[in-house]
Amino acid sequence: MANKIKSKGTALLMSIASVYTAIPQLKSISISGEKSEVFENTTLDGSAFKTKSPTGYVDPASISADVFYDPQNAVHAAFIALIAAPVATNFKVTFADAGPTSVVYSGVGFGFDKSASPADGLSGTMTIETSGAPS
Amino acid sequence: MKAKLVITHEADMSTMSEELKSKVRFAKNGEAGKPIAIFPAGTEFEGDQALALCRNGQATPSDQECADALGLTEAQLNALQIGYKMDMLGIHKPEDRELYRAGVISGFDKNGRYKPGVNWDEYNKAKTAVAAEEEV
Repeated sequence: MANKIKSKGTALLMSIASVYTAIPQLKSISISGEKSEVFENTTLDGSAFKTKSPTGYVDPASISADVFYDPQNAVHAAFIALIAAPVATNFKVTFADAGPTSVVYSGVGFGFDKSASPADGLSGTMTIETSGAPS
Repeated sequence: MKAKLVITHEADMSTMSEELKSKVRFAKNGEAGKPIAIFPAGTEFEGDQALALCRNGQATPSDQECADALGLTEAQLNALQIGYKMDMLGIHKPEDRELYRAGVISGFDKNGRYKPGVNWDEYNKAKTAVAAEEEV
């Protein structure tokens, strides 16, 4: 039976010194873009509907995480340091199911957008381009 | 320069040195019981790793060199460690973090409800009293 799993308690952890370290003050997380690649294989003598086939490759996911940004926080700083000096770094997403289920992504490209507005706390959006298959 | 983890952490086996591997233990993960690699609370790290873990609030200095390099008072280090514990427990909303710091909650149960902390009863008594006063 499928269960409705709450989002509350979902965690994003970054490997720092081989220790999975929780990203602080996480507001939301989105993992998107993982899909199998296809190519069009329509031929001139084919039917009206165009056809496609899998290439056998898969586009890896991108992770986007919104946080309340703390410029003094060492974990936020460690993430931001990856932008200028990118190093392949493992990120673990742990869901709040009974398991709990965890998925590890290898992050290779990093970004961090900051925003301040009267209606919200100082915020940041982390983006992580992943490489290869999640494990 | 040395520091010890204040809480148990999951270990990233893909990147660690042989020396660190000897410190890894395995523990049951949640209800599913699948064993995962961990560094138990009290595991000691050395060098820059030790300092980085202290700065994140994950570890506490276990020698003077690390304490000096960290340069935090005990109160500052405690605040950092409490902040980190909240992150590990998935306590992200500012109002929930205030309740955790005040000892009203200790986290969430598996249904996402508050787990009572040491001041849970006191807090609810005060809340009820305020609500009653407002009604008058």
